[in-house]
Formats: sequence, C-alpha cells, structure tokens
Amino acid sequence: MGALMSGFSGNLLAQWPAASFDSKAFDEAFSLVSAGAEVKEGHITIDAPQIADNGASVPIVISTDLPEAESISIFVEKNPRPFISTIYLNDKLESSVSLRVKMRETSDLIALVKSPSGQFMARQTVKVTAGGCA
Amino acid sequence: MSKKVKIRATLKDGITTVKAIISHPMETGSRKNKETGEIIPAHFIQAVEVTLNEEVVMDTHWGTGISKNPYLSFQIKGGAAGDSVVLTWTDNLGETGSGEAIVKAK
Repeated sequence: MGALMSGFSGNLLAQWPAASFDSKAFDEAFSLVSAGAEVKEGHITIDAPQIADNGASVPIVISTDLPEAESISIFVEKNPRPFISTIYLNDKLESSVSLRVKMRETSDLIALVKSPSGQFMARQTVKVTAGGCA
Repeated sequence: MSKKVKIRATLKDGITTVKAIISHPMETGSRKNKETGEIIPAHFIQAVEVTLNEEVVMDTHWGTGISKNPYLSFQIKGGAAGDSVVLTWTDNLGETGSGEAIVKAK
C-alpha cells in the first residue's frame, strides 16, 4: 500500500497535501482529496455529538465496514479551511479512528473513505453552540 | 512549552487500543493576540506516525482543524503484552516530538 511508509520525516511530511489543506471552500477541498472521482454514499459510521457545547474540541469517531479501506478523510463543511485530516489505514488496523476537531459554527461533518471497491462518503450535522477558533 | 505525548496501549480480545494526547497549541494562523492585535503565527502538527515494534501501523496528515492538544485513538489488530508502540509527530515549524507506550494486557 502506498500510504505505508518506513521513514518518517521523509515521505510522510513531503506528501502533506498542501493544496487540499489550504483550500477555503468545501467543494474544492473535497474534489481535491477525492481526485474528482465518483463518490457513493454508505459504509461509513460517524459518531459525533448532535450538539457540541464547545466547538474548539468536538470528539468524533469515524468507522467503516469497507474491506481493505485505504484511508479516511475528514471535513467540516463550514470551517474556514474545511479539510481536517486524512488517516491512512492498512491491514494491521481496525477501520476506526477517534479525533477531536475544531468547528467554527454549526456545520456538516463529512467523512470520505477510499477503498478498492470505490470511494464512499457520509455526513452528519453537528450543532455548535459555542464556536471554536478554526 | 511542554511537548509531551501521553500515550497508552491496552490489549483486549486480540486488539490493541492506542490512545494518545499530544501537548501542542495547534494555532491556525488566523487568531489574533487580544492585547497586541498581532496575528499569532500558524503552528500546527502536520504528520503523525505510529509504529508497533518499529513497524509503521498508522500514518496521518493533519491540518489546522485538529483541536489544540490533539487526541488520537485507534485499534491495532493483534499486538502482545510488552510490545512497543511509538507515536512521532512533526509540525509546520519543523518541531517534532514522540512518546512510547508498552502494551499492557487488560
């Protein structure tokens, strides 16, 4: 798998996708990360609060039942920079990851999973009562 | 500034759960210092890599949308009590940090 690298500060940092992270529009960021290819719905579970009291730290868990999933990418649609992270999976990992993200305002949280059977996405709205400095 | 990584790895039912908290400001570069009005420069972790007994098990890229003092948790298939799990991060200013956990059976 291409994402599995041996040397740290070499490959992984060099491959940091600057254009995607710098993008200020969700549609553009999503298109960059998904490489403009077809994205279907399903096979992803987003576990996030429906209401977040503190937008500076919203706990999320993203899981997928897709076999041989290669990566999980996370977006917050209305953040100033919507692309949050990509986690690169491999056969040694369970296909689930927990993180805490910043949300400036009420927004959809979007997860994109790449797998040999294609790309899939899911979204969930999180209502933010006190925004975080995203 | 403290650059600690708190990391724990617990083995249960053949799965090793890793939980980590990294001390890091995760500055977006768009916040202002309230007293001086100056913009606080971006300072955020870009890459995190985790190894199990020196073999890479997870890589991730982060942007400024990850919360301050980032939390990360995931599960590794297998693992054994006494195995070494090491998390290493690098930020946009070239700073790095790491932390190690020895897998404990639950």
